[in-house]
Amino acid sequence: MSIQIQQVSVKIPLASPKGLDLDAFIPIFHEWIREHRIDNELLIDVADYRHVPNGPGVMLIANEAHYAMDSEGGKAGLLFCKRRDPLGDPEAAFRHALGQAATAARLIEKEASLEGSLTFDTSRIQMRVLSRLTAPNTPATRSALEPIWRQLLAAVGFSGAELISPADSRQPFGLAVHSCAAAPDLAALLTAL
Amino acid sequence: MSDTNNSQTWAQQLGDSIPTPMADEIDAFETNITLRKAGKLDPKIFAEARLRRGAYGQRYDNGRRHDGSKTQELLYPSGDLVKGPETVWDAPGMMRIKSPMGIASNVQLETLADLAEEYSDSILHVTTRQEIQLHFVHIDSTPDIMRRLAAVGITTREACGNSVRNVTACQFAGGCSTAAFDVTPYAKATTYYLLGHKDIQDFGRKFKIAFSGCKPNPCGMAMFHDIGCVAVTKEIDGEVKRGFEFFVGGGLGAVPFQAQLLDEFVPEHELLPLCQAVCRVFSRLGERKNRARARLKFLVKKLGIEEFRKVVAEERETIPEDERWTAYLDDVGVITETPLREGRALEQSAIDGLDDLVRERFEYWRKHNIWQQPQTNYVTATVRLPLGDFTSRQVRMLTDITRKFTGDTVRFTAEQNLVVRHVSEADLPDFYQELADAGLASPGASTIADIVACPGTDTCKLGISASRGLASELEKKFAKRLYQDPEVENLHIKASGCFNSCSQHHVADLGFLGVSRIVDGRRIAHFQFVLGGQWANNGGAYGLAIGAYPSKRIPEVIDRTLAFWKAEREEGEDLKGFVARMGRATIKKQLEDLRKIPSYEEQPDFYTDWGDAREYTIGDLGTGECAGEVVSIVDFGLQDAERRLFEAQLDLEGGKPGQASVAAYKSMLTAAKALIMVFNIDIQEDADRVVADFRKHFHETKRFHDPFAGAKFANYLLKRYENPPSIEDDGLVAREAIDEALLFVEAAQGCYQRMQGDI
Ligand code: SF4
Repeated sequence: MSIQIQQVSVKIPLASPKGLDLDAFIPIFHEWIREHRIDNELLIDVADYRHVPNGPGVMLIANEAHYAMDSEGGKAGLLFCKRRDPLGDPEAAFRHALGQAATAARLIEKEASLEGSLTFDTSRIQMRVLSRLTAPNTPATRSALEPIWRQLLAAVGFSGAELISPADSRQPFGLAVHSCAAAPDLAALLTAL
Repeated sequence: MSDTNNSQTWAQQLGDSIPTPMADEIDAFETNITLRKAGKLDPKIFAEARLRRGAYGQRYDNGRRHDGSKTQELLYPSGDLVKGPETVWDAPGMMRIKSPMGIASNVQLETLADLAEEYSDSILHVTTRQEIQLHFVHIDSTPDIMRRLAAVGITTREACGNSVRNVTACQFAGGCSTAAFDVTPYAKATTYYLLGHKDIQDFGRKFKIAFSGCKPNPCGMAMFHDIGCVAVTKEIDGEVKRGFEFFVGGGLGAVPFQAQLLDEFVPEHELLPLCQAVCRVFSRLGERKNRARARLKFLVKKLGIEEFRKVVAEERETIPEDERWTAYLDDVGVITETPLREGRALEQSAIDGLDDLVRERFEYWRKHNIWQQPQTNYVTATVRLPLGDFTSRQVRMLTDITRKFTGDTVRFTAEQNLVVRHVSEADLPDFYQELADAGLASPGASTIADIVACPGTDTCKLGISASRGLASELEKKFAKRLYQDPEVENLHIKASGCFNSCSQHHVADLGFLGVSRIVDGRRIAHFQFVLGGQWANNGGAYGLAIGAYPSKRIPEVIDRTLAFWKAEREEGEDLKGFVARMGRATIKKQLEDLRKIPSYEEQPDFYTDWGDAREYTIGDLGTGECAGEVVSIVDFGLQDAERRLFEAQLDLEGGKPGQASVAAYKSMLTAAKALIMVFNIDIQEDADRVVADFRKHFHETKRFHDPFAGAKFANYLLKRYENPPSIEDDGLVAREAIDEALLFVEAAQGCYQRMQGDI
């Protein structure tokens, strides 16, 4: 039987974290809720974690997922994380997470109040599968999921991607693009999805 | 794929690693979920069941959220299905996870980290009851969360609801030189003896127990618990015996009570039966109908400590002997937490070898975050967690550190931090560096910068003001080490989002609780300022309410207060002593101009709260679940009235009859206003409006009339309104005003209950 998974996250790093002012994201995310900026998501609240060193920064909470200007491991970027999902086909879960992350990142790039100060670097995109029951961080999970993720990346315009996975088995299984010959920008990525 | 688990569930995967009774309980809870979904279980009953399993509601779970300009409907996919009164099934909630005495092993921590990552937002939040909360969790996920916790020895049973909550104890227990002895085994025995015990299943409200190793230090906080046990020894027949000073009936909340001494020496073998006897008395005689009066403190007050002592002693005699009362005593004294590395002294040369910047940071961290243990060359290090938060990733880095330097456990603290015990002093520079790499080396533990805050408006349904937003702002301010004065540096700040006091603000030097005020038709977040509480002596004294100030002015309120204290204090006078000497009126006068509100046009950001971009509202207040059931905004108002009444009594006792008289009148107005909120949510503080609305909705309709005394109590308010109290009133007038206010507030409680159809 092929592997089935639940919660998936995707993080798209900022091209340059220097321009990042987390304070600005409090009103931005409140406005996204007020204006229902993300179509297929029930947006609920803004969680402020600016006080946590290298933490999730400012978070936009949706009913079944959250979005964050996250700095885990000192790497700032837009994180989309599905908290709740039925077990399902990995390709669909990856596609959905990638699409949601790219949508939010694109909204940030276009956010008027930021005046273009933030852009994203898709060539270092990271994906994680949080559901440890079906996808523990093991070589078997990697051999089951890597081809599916690779295929999706290729389909949306990545080429020559070298993928790395966290060595610590306590961490969720994930694949991060370490280097690649070509990566689509956000607009191209969204079109391809 | 051979080793994937598509067809397995967590229940199957964990199998025998969950003890059978725990597995059965969780299965039963899962069945309740199924029944509720099928409409075969009453929502109120399901609510109490989930609360008793630690699954709590969270802000916006009533399906509404104010976005700053209007209230939006949150259309959760589950539609009309609810998990309690006004609590939509699908709305994310909070999971409270017990950790008795705040103790967690590496494996437990790592499981918590996994759960936070998979079902929550990757944040573990440490509470003032030394436990962990995860937010934004879906009710359907909770059985698996419980199973995964149970597999590593953690229960969420009785984490919320009308039950014995997480038993707390000093985080330094077993590594403290002022303790009479290590209270850990006693607290542990109490936890597991009472957990699920039949005698605690029928309480009217929650019940909290704390253990402290000594009297003078604050760690155990025995003085504001339903039961507070302070370790003492006594020589009996030439032998030193262990026992406890046993306190009962303490509590914070709207009306704070100091615990009273039930017995000055309870021998260790009598600890569990006495706790059980108190629980049985509470279960039998505690208030049921009036939830605001249902905590043990009110029962102790009602009976008086002498009568309460007598009733408990009689109850004790009726309890059948249980071998568990003493079985654990055989293991007391067996050291379960041994250091991993040999204790070696820290040589100055090791510090000198650090580069300048690191050395400076290390020294400042060491100054406040290290606690000398009695065991030679060992220290306990406090890992300060800003606002009690840390991430799943930090947890894994922390367990790497504990595995390398100390062993298997950490303890969460009531100050929302954690401690790592048995660090060899010689390891401190390396230990510090590894904490710093994990973002866990924030200095200033237990200083003015280490602020305690409850969830407040961030996630709590009852939050009125942004306690976390305020705390975050203040942390930033004090992290700059503006106050080099050690007297100032060692003060404590605690902020609660409402007067339920979850941050324990009553025992802070500078305490705050969220309230709101309407000015020129706009609602503005405020904090009531409670000054001069005492964290030492197990939370030995409560602060004095000075007044309500706009949330955005609180940093100035603190600056002004501290400047006044520093300028006017007598030699060696602490803040508490200063407040007592100066009195409320003098301090209040110093802060008078800070009550002013700039116009909306002048300063619109005054009309938002800290960390929130929305224009302030209390429209998001929901139905609280602290009490296990409904706590409405009216309950809140009535509790506030009780608090004011309490302050009136304090004023009278403190020789300020005029102030007492005025405060008593205000308590009546507050109670009336609370009731009026049933009809008019935006009723203002103003006496004319309150009395006019009270006449219209309650007096003329006879809704307030007492079934026996008729209009008598309503007339107390109307009479005072016609003839308002004065600051010149003498003791006799004040006494009468307080007595009348007591009856009026009581009548308001009764009226509200009648309106709810409770009686
Ligand atoms: S003090 Fe009030 S706002 Fe804070 S957690 Fe308790 S009930 Fe909620």
